[in-house]
Amino acid sequence: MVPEKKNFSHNDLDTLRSRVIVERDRVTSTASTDFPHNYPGQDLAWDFEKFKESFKLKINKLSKTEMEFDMIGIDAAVANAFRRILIAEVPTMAVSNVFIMNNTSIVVDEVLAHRLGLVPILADPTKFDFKGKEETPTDLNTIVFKLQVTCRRNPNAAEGETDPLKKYIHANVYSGDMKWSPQGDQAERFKECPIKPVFDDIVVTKLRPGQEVDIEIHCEKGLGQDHAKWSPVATASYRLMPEILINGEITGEAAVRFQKCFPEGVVDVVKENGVKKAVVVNPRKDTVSREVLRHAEFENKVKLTRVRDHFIFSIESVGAIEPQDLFVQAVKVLMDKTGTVKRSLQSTLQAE
Amino acid sequence: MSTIVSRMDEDQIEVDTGKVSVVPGTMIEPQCATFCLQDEDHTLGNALRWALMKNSEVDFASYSIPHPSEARTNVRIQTSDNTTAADAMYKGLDDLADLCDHVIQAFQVELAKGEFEYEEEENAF
Repeated sequence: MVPEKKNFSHNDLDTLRSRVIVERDRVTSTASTDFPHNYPGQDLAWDFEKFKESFKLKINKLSKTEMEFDMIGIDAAVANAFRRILIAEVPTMAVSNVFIMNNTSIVVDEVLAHRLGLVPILADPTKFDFKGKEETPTDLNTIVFKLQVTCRRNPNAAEGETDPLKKYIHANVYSGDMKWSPQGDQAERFKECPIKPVFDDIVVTKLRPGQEVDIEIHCEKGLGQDHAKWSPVATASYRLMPEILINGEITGEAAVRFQKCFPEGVVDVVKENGVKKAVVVNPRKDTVSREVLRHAEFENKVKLTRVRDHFIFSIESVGAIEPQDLFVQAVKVLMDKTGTVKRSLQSTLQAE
Repeated sequence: MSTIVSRMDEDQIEVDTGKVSVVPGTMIEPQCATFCLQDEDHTLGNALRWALMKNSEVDFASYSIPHPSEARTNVRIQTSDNTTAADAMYKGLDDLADLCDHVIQAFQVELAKGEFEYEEEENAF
């Protein structure tokens, strides 16, 4: 006697080829197999025209700091390359050298310098060059800020005032206290958008009367690979589009229970001929928690999968570069990499 | 070593930057080779491997990172007799570049269409 299968099978070729199968205790069929010679009679070799036809890019949300868009028809290797480049290889400007003339605040020098390094700087990195370790700072590769704050007692504060922000002047040193000191022709070049920290309200350190900070700050161009302070994104991530297929129908009170297994808005309970029925309306909102597979009554009635070539990309920019520019720059970085490798390979092989 | 190479887009002088080298002893015939890419990691390695596998003349394509502390990636290619490993590599890189170019174009077309939710931030910079 053949034992009854726990889950109904995902053996059909189309599912295995195009979907990542999500089961109760594992995820299978994750690798892409769309390569030549894998499927008889099908030519899956790279065809630029076919790719252009099947590739879809749809932007869903855009703001000054966040962007969500869909890419359909691309492979995970390339989508991941874009994600990695967004995090680590798009250049930005960040505080690199901190010259401390005087620091009597409660925060010790190196910790203060570390905190300053993490302050995002609103400057267009394409207008600057990288500065090598041994190079001298010039107006083309360095941005200079001055942070000079002294804390004094506030003569206008009420008697018995306890709030330090009211009792003292400059009790908190904010990133907004960093004053840009334009070098060379920077004042001309950045007349329209003066250089400043992205956020004015980051607390860098705290002072009490008599304490002061007197610091000169140099910012340089760098990559997230080197240090996370140069990463232009809070994060960049993607997820695959979920898919929920119901085997047969789920009706009555079971439909309501089924709806509760998913986040709000994923499954709708509609009344058809007086009978309640569960209908999947928005699988995009599903977080694929697999809650439904934990219930024995639904285990064999639902198939949870993810569409292998549909990427829901989310880019959260720190603020220095807008997310739409960020994505274009990231794709250009990948394109430049291929160009560099190609030229180097040509010269290596020609030398032989 | 420098070789004068004439190319449409760049300067005439070509300088060998040492970015790509052939791992010695792996190119016993033109159809197979292991290329060593300096200062590259999974970002280019995996994408390049996918582009190479999409070539029907390529019998074997893979990438590996010999040691995680060193930024070096090896790409192994074995092709049929109809082409060479170097040509397969060029094709893979070109295909990737074409793909990137098309993605940028499609993105800019979508951006221009403006059929998305645009949020104005309360505290816009």
